[in-house]
Amino acid sequence: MLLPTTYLRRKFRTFFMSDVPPSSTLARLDRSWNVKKTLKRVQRHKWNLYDVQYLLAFTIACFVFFVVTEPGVFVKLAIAALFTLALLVPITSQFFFPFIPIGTWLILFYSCRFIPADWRPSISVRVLPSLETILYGGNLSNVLAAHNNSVLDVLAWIPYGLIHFGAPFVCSAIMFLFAAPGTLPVFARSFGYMNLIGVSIQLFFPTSPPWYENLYGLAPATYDIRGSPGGLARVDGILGLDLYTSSFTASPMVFGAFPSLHSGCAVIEVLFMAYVFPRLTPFLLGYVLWIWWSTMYLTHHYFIDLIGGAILSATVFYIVSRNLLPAVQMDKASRWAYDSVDMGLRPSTKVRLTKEFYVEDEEWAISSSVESGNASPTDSPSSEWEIETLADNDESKAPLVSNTASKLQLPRYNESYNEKFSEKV
Amino acid sequence: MMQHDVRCIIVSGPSICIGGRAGTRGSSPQPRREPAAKYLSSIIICLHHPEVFLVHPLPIEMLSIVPRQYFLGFIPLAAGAELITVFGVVNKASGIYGLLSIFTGHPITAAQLILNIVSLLLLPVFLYALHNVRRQNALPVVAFSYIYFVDMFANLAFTIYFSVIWFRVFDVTEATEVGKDTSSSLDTASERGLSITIIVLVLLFKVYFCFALFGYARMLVRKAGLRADNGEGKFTKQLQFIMLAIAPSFWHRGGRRAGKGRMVNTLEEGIEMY
Repeated sequence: MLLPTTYLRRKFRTFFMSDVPPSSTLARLDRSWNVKKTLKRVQRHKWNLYDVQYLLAFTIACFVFFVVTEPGVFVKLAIAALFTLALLVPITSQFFFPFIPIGTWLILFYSCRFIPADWRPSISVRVLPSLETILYGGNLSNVLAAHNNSVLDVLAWIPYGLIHFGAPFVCSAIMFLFAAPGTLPVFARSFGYMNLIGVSIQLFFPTSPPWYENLYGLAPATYDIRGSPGGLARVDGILGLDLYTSSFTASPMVFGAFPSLHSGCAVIEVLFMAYVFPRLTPFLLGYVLWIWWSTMYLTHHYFIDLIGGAILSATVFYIVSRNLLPAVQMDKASRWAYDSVDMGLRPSTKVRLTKEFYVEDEEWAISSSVESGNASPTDSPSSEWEIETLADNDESKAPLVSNTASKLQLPRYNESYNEKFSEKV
Repeated sequence: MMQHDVRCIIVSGPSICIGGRAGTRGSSPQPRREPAAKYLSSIIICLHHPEVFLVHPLPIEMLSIVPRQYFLGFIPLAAGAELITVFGVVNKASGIYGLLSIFTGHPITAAQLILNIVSLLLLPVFLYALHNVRRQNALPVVAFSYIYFVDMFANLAFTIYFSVIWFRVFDVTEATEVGKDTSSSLDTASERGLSITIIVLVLLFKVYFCFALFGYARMLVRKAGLRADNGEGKFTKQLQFIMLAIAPSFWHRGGRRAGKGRMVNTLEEGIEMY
């Protein structure tokens, strides 16, 4: 007996879609291939200050286009054309539009090796060891790397070399399936901007990692020096591969110790996952401690780099979680169970998506106004914030909150949602 | 930052009074934004009648660095306090890694050992504080801000101690040539300058964080209506008295007048009298 797709589809439906509200289309994706739709959307868009982010992304893309020499002009043009096409076709654009910050980060990271050395700022070799020793009392990364054996090597390799690269995809898939609709695009944007800020800091404040100190002492560095796998060379030996030695030697960012994006990625993933699954928080924190240990054990980062990455991620997450992130409703099993979504933690920032989304569809507008009462804000983790803001809204604060809220909102985001969901009915 | 907490000076007849929030006592729910000219006129009035400063110390509170609603001027104080606590938790995790040196056999000094043990002991305290900062529990947040205050000074002492040791050996380590030209690297003097600048900035931020935590604690205390004398439970009552009686003029408006100029022998007596 074969496993037909209809069988799989049925299984999927019984697992995820058993408690779908009958008329909810909130979780559905846009399946249109019509480019005109996107163009119409752009035409109707009201431009505002937050669209500067796309100008920034475009500027970085242009810079990368002219700096990178390795793939030829035609390949670069082809990539640019493909990405533009992916943004234009609605079915792909719903994925590639939130992907813009991540894409910008990836191409900027790749272009680093092509930036001429005389454009770059001077490398600091001693600042990070100084900060680590003075603020934390000792060279923590040295302490952890002092004693090696193959069991520890493998234990360090698992989060650093495996989970780190797989986790963004796994977290995205889990968030897409189980969190409120709209969580994944917010995660993608936060992840992308966090990494983009991180790489920018690495470019403007180049610092040497601990393996440099081990290889060359505290001698002055040049941009001619190639990357080193650090402790991952031992892992290559254990695995019998030449995976990390070759890739880290050819790394485009050799002097990018601060901030640690291994730490940054881990922390932002953990914060989002803990937001969606609060019960998993202890395990998730354990993962952060594990990957921190492994980065120092493999001599890739100082402790201060890890703190830098964590602070960057925490800041991005707090901005996003208070203003943009859809609230989790604990009684909902999957994205298909949601019939309404609240965004952000402050009541004035909240947008009832049901009302906003289906404003064009009269039939839906009526049914949503009836059904939006199903949402249970008391189950969401935001309830305590609501109480807080309600409590101090009584006097002079209220107008200010709404003022800042309207400023802080990302209307482009709302609109993309508005479009995405309203036109698929 | 203080645009909605404007102290206005009202000239009514011969007497001058300062105080009251603009717009809060009026009939309209919208606070009136005070025009710049009004600020100027109030300053002029204060110049002519300096006694208003003596009677009402409110303008000084206006200049205070302790934030009242916004952390760094634009982040809501609750979120700011949460971020400060998260930064604290992340920093205290260094104790775990420092103490791993016992297993790796890396030699550490007594000062390092003490710092690491203190960090490790404070880690659960900070985690518990994070829980309470999120839930806006006034009394634990007040206690945490005191702990943060003490921890800040301890950190300052450790920082000075370790930097003295570090910079003594900083210049001694000889630079050996690696590449052909060393022009793309900072020279030792500027690296030292950069390190000192960053450390001073970190410490200044820490001081501001401490002020912000106290500001958040004060916000919660005023919201919950806590006073030095209305604690519940034996231990909590004493703790609340100690913490809120230290600087009553900070925690409450005009809180200084109570219990002034009298001696008390026991805590219970003090709470009663207060």
